[in-house]
Amino acid sequence: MNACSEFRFPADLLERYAMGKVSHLDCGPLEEHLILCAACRKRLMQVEEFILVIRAALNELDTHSETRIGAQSALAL
Amino acid sequence: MLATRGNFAGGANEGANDPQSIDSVSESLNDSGDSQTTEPESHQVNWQDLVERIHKGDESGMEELYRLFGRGIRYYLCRQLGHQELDDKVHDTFVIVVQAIRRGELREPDRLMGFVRTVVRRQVAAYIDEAVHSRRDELNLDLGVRVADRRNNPEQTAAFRQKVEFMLEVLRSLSERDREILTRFYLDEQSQETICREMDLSETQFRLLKSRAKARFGEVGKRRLQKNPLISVSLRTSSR
Repeated sequence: MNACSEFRFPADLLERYAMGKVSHLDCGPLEEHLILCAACRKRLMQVEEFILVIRAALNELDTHSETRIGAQSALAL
Repeated sequence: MLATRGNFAGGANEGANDPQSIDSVSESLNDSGDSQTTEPESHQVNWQDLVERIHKGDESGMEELYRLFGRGIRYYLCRQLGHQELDDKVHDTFVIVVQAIRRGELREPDRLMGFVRTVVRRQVAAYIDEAVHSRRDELNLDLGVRVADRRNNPEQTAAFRQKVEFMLEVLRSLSERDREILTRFYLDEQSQETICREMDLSETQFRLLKSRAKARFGEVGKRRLQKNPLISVSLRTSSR
């Protein structure tokens, strides 16, 4: 694959975009670039996959509920 | 005459095997040469000339339009809507873009990328609207969830499960505090600012933790693959 020479979209932005945290107005330049750039599309797919995998793993570890219980207990105190 | 689907045949069969996941999007793109093809960058394209050729009905203009945007549009539509009737949706999008150019609606050729994006977004909204109105609830189109899990076949499920196992190994090796940070970010979807403030972290520490987790995930995957080369999982997530 040809590398993307523009590389102006950092991993953090791709991650926020993958999580739906970039507003419609702000994601314009990125989406326009993605339509044209295979290298960045691949980066985005990798980011999306990482998010899916880590979410599944975190859910499985049940860290989520433990954290919540911990936070709730702290509040109760 | 306006180009028919045949004119856009370059990628028309990319999704013909009904793959259902982000993985399979990638595979179908790779199968069709996405990783080999050199896609031009925006500054390398003479938008004025391209729009002019399409406006005149020049077939070469339409071919170039498809070559430039075909895979990107396909990816975007697939990401938002899944593989169902994907070829038709890609085709419809191109028809709209080409017709608009022919009618002279694109006054600034340099804005072609933005125009294509707008058309694709409208198409996505229209398909979702249609799906909602025809009560096809089974499509489960949740606009709020960008990262949709579309794994469907046993192989994809097995490959995904394996990656989750790798990740579990990584997560278990972290401190409870680090796991909590990742949980807050990826599961609770708390903002980086909130997490940093509440957990007394600097932005750099937060980023480091995330990138270390990604790097460890890559290492564990690589190690497991070396131990068992029969594992046919492509561990694509890099530590970059």
